[in-house]
Amino acid sequence: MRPDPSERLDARAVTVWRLQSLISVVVLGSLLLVLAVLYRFGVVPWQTLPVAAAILLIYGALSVGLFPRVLWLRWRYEVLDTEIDLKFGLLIQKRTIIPMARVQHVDTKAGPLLRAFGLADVTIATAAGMHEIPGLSNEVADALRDRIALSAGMIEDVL
Amino acid sequence: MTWSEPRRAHPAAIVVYAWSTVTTLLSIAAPILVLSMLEADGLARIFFPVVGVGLVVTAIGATLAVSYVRWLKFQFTIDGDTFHVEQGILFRKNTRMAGERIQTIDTAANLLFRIVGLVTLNVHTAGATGKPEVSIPALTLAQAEDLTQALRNLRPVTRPQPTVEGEPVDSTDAPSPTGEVACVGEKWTLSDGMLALNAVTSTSGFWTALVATFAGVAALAEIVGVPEVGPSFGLVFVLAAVVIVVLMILVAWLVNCVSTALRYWGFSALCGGDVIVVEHGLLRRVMRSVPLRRVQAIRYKESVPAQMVSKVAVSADCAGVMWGTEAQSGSDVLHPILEREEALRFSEAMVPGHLPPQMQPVPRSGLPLYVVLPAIGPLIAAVAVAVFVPYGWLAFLVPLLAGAWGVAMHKDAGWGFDEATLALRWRLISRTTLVVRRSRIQSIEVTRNPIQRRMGLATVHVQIASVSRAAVAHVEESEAWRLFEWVSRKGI
Repeated sequence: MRPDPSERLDARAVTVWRLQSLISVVVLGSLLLVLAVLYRFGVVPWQTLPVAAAILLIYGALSVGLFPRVLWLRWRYEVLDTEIDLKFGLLIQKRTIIPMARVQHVDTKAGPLLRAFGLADVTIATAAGMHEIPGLSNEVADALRDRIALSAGMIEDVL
Repeated sequence: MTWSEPRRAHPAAIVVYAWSTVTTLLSIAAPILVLSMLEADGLARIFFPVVGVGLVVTAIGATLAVSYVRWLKFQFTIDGDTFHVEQGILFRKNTRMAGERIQTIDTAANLLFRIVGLVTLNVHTAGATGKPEVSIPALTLAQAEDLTQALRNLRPVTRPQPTVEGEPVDSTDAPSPTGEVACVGEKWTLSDGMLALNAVTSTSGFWTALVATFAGVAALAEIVGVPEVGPSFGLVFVLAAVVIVVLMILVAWLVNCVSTALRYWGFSALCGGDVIVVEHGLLRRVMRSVPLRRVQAIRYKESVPAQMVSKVAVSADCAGVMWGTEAQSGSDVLHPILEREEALRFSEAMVPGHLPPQMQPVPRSGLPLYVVLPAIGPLIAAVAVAVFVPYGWLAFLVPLLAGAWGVAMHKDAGWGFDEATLALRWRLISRTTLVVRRSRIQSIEVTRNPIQRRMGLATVHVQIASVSRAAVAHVEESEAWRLFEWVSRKGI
């Protein structure tokens, strides 16, 4: 079997993923308030409250505390002249090869949270679908995008 | 015929546009009118129908007027190297299509259209929405043939072709690596016997027919009322239920037989140099041209009944043509029924380079995963049912069937590759063998879940630019990596 791809994601990606999970936990937490109101009006028994809280707590601990770190540790990528090699996956480990000749276009994109940390995701489109290398620093992401575009022969003419 | 001037569809298009609105209108208005005539009395007895008919006539008139304007505003031109279509009344839609973007062109005609010699022409691009990019509602046969030819002959827009190691970049449109994109001329047809055999062994429309039959029976039970046939779960009750279910299956099968026979009536597949022209249908005549260089993969599909009589259907995956109108699992049918050897001969002549290479089965060690995964859910459900429902132990038949299904899936799963082609075989209900050329593989993925990791197994997924990803589950991990390296350019 071939060795793992050489590159890791930016270390700050872990923090961003933690924050993203935290936001979703907070949003779900507001549902607890709804449950509390429902209990107040006697729609649900009191037992639902601690059960829901416990589930939320476990989900929060895993999605904020554990998964981002493990996900980051599992993520490897390498861009060669002829292909893009990805290895990732929390429970189900995935290894993907995208032959460079199949790349249709390549983008970098970043939401507000990623931008605040100076990070971006690189998405690679083939005729069959999208692939993503998440959580790279802006410089690395831009360089990677240009390099893939160049290798795939798709860089646009500068007028 | 020249297409460089803006042209309109045949005026029958107005009828096509108006048809569904008018028929819906009439089917709603007619009963209301009749009722109002019967119920009302005195002056209203004359007044209501007059106003009602007036309203309906006005509405039909308005629909026709709108349809007329739609027809008027729908214009198409072949403008140099592009196909240019303008349509829409309020929301104008302006489509310019380079010849190289056109994937397949098909024509279809229902019974009425066939009598008057008109067709609907659909142009598909790789837009992957399943709907045709442009649909011209009515053209004469001669016009349609001429336009199809003209669209096929559009010169590709010249732009420098960037290459990686001499390989063209636009991989959905690249000629096959052998440089050979020509089929061998021969007309394939269906004998009456084969048409009938195809009808009775077809499963493609069976499930839809079964659901429709079930809905029909349920509606009937609602109206007629369910007769009392003895105590619930008594012998008579169970027997009656079994008889009804068997009858429903029989009806659904018959319906599917007839509709399949009508659909493939007068089938022919013809090689036209670099396109395959497939034509079939009695009531609705469909003619589809599949350009060879658009073909992403070839499927050999054996439904369970077809497999019993050793018959195969051959279909082609084209980029973007998803869930096409007559498609089997999103793939354009090239031939609905062939002997196994014939199918190989057909494939070699019509879509050269898509013969399945030597295949190997998945290892025995994968069998437990194939059996346990589909059976585990039903098993848990069956335990619950057995505890709470009379005759609930019958529910254990479901996990048993699921397990047997798993054994069948394991037995039929397989794969193999040579220099240029990869074949994957799997069973969902039908058995499918997919053959894809290496140059058409968009990416490959090897996945391993925790159980697979422990057992040294892996699942191989191959992405192609057509319907779906194809996968073979629970193969030997080392073998999976061998295929991985085969797709990778590093290993060569």
